[in-house]
Amino acid sequence: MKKMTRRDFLKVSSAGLVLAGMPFTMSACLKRMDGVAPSDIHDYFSLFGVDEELIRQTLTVALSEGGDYADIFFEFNTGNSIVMEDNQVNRAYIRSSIGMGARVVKGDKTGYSFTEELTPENMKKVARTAAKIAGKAGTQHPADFKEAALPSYYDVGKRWEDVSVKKRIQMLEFVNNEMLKRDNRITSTQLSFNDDERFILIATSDGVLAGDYQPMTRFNAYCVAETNGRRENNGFNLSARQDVNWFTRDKLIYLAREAVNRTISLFDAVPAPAGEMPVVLAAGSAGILLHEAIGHGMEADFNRKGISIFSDKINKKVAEPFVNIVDDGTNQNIRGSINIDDEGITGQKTFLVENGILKSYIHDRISAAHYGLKPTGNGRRESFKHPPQPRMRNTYMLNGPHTFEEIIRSTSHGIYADQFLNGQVYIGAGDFTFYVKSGYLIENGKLTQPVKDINIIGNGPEVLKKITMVANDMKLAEGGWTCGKGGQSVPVSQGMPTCKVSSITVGGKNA
Amino acid sequence: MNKELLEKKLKWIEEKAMKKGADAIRSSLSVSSGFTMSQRDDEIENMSESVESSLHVEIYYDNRYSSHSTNDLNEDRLDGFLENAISMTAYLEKDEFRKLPEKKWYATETDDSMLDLVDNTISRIHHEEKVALLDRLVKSAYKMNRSLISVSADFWNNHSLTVLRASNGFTGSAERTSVGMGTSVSLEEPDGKRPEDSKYIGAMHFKELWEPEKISAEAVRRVEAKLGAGKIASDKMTMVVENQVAGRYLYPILRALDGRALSQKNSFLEGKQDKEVGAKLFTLIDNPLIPRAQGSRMFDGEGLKAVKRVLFQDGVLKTYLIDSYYGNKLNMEPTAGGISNLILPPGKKSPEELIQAVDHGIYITGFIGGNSNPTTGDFSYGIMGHEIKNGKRVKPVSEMNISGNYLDLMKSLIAVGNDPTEFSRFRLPTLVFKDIDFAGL
Repeated sequence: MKKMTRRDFLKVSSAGLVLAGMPFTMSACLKRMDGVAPSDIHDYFSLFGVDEELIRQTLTVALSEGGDYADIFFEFNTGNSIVMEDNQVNRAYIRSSIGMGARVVKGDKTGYSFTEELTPENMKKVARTAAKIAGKAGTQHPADFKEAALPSYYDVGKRWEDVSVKKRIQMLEFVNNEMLKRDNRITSTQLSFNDDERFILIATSDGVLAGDYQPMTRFNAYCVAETNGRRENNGFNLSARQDVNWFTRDKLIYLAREAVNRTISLFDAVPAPAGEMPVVLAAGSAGILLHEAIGHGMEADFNRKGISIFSDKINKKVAEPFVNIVDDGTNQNIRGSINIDDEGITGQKTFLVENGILKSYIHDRISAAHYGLKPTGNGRRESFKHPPQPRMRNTYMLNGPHTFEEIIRSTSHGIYADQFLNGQVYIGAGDFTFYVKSGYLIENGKLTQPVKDINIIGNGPEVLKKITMVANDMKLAEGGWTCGKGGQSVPVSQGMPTCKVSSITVGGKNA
Repeated sequence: MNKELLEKKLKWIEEKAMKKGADAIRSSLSVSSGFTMSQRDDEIENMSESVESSLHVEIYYDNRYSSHSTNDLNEDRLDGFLENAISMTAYLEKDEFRKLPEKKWYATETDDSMLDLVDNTISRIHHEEKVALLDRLVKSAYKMNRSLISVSADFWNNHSLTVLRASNGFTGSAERTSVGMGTSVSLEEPDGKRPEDSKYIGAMHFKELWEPEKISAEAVRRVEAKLGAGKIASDKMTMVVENQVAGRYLYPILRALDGRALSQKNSFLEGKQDKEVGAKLFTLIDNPLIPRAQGSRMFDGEGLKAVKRVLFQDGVLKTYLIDSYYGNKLNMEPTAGGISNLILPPGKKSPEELIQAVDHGIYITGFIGGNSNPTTGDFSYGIMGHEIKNGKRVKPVSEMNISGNYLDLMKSLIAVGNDPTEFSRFRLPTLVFKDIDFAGL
């Protein structure tokens, strides 16, 4: 396999969107022989223009002020968005960035710096800056590297770099046509096709050396519809760590249909009532409740500081015995999956709640060391410009003993919530919210009229106790969810079986 | 940071792109250096220091358009970057509205020194001084309340320089510093809840910041006020919105003024220019020319001249926010790509006097989650604050929602305070609205 210099690679990749019909043979060295992602650590070395000796020297500088631990993190990221508006594919946004960050840890303290120019001088300079946190001379040396054997949770057949602009345009036009022909009340459509490729190389002072290729795609379809002078807008999107072949004809039709149906149904919506009532969460992206009600509160940085409402609840009962909640980096091709986290710990599945008992926080290296535990593979960062934090991956509830029908039938008056836009939590007080774009009223055990644009607010531990029924129809979210914390965004997903919260406050109109 | 060097680089990029066939190009190059440090309780916890750059290139080619960004400024690689940028643009559809703005809209005066956005003393603050500020933030919080369970303090400073260049004759630069600090504090309640609150202050000039003791005192006051919070019965009530959180609440109204939203019929303010949409008190002004203010600028992202504009006057919608592309599309004159500093003219009463005039209502000191529908104006947000009864704050409130529609909300503004916020681009006073739907018990 021919090795390519970084310069060649960037030249090719900065195009991002490959010209239609033109094969990109130059990037071949960043693929396996079977034409997929880079497999050999040397591919990553050549991408970043480094070698093992330079990495070792940089880590040695990072440890030179007495740090307990150091890592260096290289990242090359390219992304493309093509936008269709007013039935024209008339704009594209293309980005690429490259850089390296150095982190030094001393106890719970972190020193961090990064550079965008990967020269040996710059790499050592940022290592020296990060080292200052430790504050006194040390003689520690990095351990010998053991190349990590990584799992494969997003093995894709085709690189995004090898997909032509024309192919992306065809998909946009196809979905746009499908949307327009479904309903003549649609007055405008906005679509965008997005893909990203992230290459990371991590080296740690305790001997981890690993590279990973992380693909991502997201297809957004939104529209505005008008009838009798009334307008509504809504949409749908699909996102995964997948390649272009994931977007089959059926999948694109599904995207168009959901975007249109979810918009048109809003015309029938009635105002939601205000106040406390039972809320049934639809299977799928309703996992946003878990993300906000418990997920953030279980991030161990908040707990080691004693500022989360879950800080003293490990091994305590927090929910009914049929409630099991996991945070999982190992789901095949799902948006929040990671073969390896951004500090060199391989992807894994962590039980937050098992049979109603609070089991484990989600850890990065710092919090795991603080508690004397093994890291859980949740150390993630937005880019080389940031140090890692404990972050969620795919957070979901496992199946329970009830059925969808039983749950709806058991509810005499309440809300069925099935599409969500965003949520937020205060992890100390435990209050959290999620915004319901669309749902239905439940009256006398039946779904009746649609409702829309409702915020729901509750308290994490209290709501967990009020999960009284869980169905057997767990689904992971299909759309592209992004989680923000401390100024950093990372891709995540979530999932849920149909479940019932016996009482929670719904933001609606007072009678 | 060397302005001439950035200008030279953009000139080189422009020449290369034009030689490769671009009809026009707009490019910007930013360099910024930043430092952050935080302390938790007695120890420094994080320290981070870096320099970064960002190049943004917009290509106009045969009535087609694409936008590209990179942080790799190596000339050989930039050559390939531009080559690819132009060839891929050729695959997009033609769009007759896509062109650089007419020259007459560009700022002719780009020197922003009158805005006083740079404080050169910031780079001379010693590391030890920063450490001492953090220590004062933490110690003064604990001194005010010994039962705090955690105190974190942050200090940051940043210096950035951006040059913007357009091939039909615009070059301008914007340089600014920022510096700030703040404190986050937590308390524990008997039921295990650990309410948190914070106060952060950021400015362009170091001297404008509050003393650390004043910042921490405000953070502690805020968290103490939350103790024992809970929900009250759902009802229609008067809503008083604290000045520092009002910006977030009004933001969707600004989004509805945006050219793209109008063009896509995705705005509840579409077709309402020169119509009365709000109460008499509802006046909003965008002023980009306030010295030392966060949003101040001489030109926007396209180089358009920044001028003071009245968005709403006495409840009447006067100005949309239109960039040159959507101006072409909507056949309207461009105004600005977005807001700079937003002003709602203050009234005469203090927040306490406004609260005293309320029989039954909620004083909102924080929003949590929620969203709004850009097409219809429907909104629903989580809130926290205090119940007001007979003019007095009687109980901390949490876990409640408000719901309504922005078109109704703008009409229900009944009073404004005399207390516009200092440090935000939203210079809004305390606001009072009548008959808002609250959901709680």
